[in-house]
Amino acid sequence: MQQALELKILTVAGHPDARILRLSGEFDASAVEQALEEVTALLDAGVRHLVCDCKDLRYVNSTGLGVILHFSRVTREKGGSFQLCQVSEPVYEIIEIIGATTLLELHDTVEDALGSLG
Amino acid sequence: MNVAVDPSFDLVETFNIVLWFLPLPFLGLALSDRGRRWWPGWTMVATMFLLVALEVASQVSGSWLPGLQKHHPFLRFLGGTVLLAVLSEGSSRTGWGNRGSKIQLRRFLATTILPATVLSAMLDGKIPTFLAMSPAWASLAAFEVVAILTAPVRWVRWMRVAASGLMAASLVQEFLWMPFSVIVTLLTATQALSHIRQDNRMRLLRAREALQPKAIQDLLAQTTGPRMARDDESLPVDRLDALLGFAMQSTGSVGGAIFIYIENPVAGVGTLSRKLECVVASGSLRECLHSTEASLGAQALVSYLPATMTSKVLHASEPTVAYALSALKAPKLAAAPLRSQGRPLGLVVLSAPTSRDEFSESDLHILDFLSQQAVFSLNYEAVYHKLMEDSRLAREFEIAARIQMGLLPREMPRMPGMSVAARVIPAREVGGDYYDLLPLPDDRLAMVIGDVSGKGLPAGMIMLIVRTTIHLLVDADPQGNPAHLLRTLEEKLVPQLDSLTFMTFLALRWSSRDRILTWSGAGHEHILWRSSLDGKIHRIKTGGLALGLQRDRFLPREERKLLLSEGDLILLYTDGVIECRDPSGSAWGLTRLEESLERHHQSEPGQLLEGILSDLDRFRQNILPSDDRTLLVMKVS
Repeated sequence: MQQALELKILTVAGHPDARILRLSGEFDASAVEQALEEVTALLDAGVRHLVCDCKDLRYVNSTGLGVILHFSRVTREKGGSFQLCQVSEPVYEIIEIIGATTLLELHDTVEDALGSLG
Repeated sequence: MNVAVDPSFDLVETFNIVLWFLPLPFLGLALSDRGRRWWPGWTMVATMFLLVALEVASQVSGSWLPGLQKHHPFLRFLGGTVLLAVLSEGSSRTGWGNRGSKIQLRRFLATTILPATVLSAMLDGKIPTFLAMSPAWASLAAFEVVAILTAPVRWVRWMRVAASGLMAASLVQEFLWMPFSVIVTLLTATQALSHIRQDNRMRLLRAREALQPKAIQDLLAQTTGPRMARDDESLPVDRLDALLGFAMQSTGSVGGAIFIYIENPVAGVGTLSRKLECVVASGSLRECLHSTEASLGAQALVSYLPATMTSKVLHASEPTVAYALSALKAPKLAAAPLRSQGRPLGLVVLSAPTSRDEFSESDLHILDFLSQQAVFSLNYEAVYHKLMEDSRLAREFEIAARIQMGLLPREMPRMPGMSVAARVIPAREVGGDYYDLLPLPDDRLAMVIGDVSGKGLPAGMIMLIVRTTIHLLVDADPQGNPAHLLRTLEEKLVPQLDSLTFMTFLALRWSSRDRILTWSGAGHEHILWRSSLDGKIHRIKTGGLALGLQRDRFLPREERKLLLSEGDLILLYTDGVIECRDPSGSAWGLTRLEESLERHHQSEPGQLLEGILSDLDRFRQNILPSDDRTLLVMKVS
């Protein structure tokens, strides 16, 4: 069954300008507005570093991936970072098809991703 | 007037007479004080019923209240008339009973019975005794009461026609009081008949009004209700003007105005999104047009009036109303708010008629009618314009879709050593999927397939840019290889894309002479290759980064090659094909596409493509695809 995207925002101890985005469900065109709105609000509020936890993200289509890549570009333009972790097989496949493996920083665990924040 | 009074005048009779006139002070009170107190009305209604009960009791027992029936027919008649007047006024004050019937009753009493009585008494100095006993009068009075309580107005009218006949008959029998009988019969009959004609006209109007609710309300539910802009052609000024004219004429009012909320086109921070403005005004309220002060006054009234569409006479005793009256420069006004879908639309105001300087209940009735018709007109125009706009947009989309479809290859190119078929099915009228087949010299064919992220008109416009660019590039350099084509396309296209839009693309070149397929990919879906040698379907990654994902620098594009043999099949698709869902929510997926290809692999490309599409339709059942779908099949022969 198709599940709507759920987006949880968690703070990171010791990094006031970082947030963990926990995505679950399916990320397609129907979730674009919601994701854009919430993440843009975070960035406007001064958040620089985003760690996107995809453990429960079952599926993403090219439109959803386009939005993730947009976040990655915007954070970097603002001098921050964007990292993906715990990416599932089907999601990785889409990233690979689009050719975005080189554009995204991928990590196995949230800790690894947070570790790279320094 | 010489009223015959029995010499044996006693206390009980005096009490009787006092009782009959008891309602008069209340009537006077009700007429002079039109405030919002509840007790005058209910006291009058209660008095009326008390008196009727006493009368019935006296008829039954014959012992109490004996004098009046025998000795004071005129008083009895007058008392009956006053009773009806009290009932009418009392029930109006309490808002109870049938409003139309009450208005008619008062008009009847004022214009027919009372003048006829007075006239008759003046002419022969006698009291129309028969009236006291007349079954016609008794039944008429009873009927008026019933009508006020329950019945539709038109019953009262027919009853009056019948009553005038009965009166005439009873007069012929008694052969008495000729002048009165003639006057009352003629007046009653003409008035009742003219009312019946009026009723029929009102019924017609109401029938037209009845067209409003279902069809229009349904359509209105799809809009946010009427939203008017200044000089908007959806603002039915002429019709509002005609309605206001009708209301003023019917009430004899000296001025009227209609205020409508006008959308502010430059709404933003610190400005109101809509503002009440006078769109139609006439007579003494003419100055309300273009008057900011009048708009503010009207705005105060909208906030002050209850959120129902009932007309109200405005009393300057309230500070808000006093301010509004001075802003509108009118001494006496009745107003009705205009509302639709629970939203305020505006306000109708009417000045008092010159002749009376006071609003009658029928005036308010007409104002109610005016406000309902005004809302109807506004709703009607809003719905009409929404329909027109929708159909105009639908036509334009249809044209855009035709233009886009017309740009796709009309015929599949015929060339030795291969056959090809392709099909694009947009999810909406216009889509962001693109394929093209461009024959090149030396039995070669350029094939491209692409998918702009998003769908609909924005994606469709990008697709048109891509198509134009590809045609120009291929025309300019027919020998150019796929990687070069892709790289040049990227340079031209990416600066045109907004930050969220990108495009997956696959540029291929087929050469029939050496059976080599060369391609360069930009993040597109796999190439499905069914080899006739091993009978297996191979997923071939196309590679490359989608166009628009990297904007700061464009790297050289890679190129890959595949040697095909006779009977080999190549299937290209966009993600909309494998992302189609069935009613349970699962996607069709690459595996099912491969199974479908395998099932139909012996067909020629055209039929093979139809076969895959019908498999897909069977899978998704009634679930509409959310994205554009494109399929391209090539077979080596």
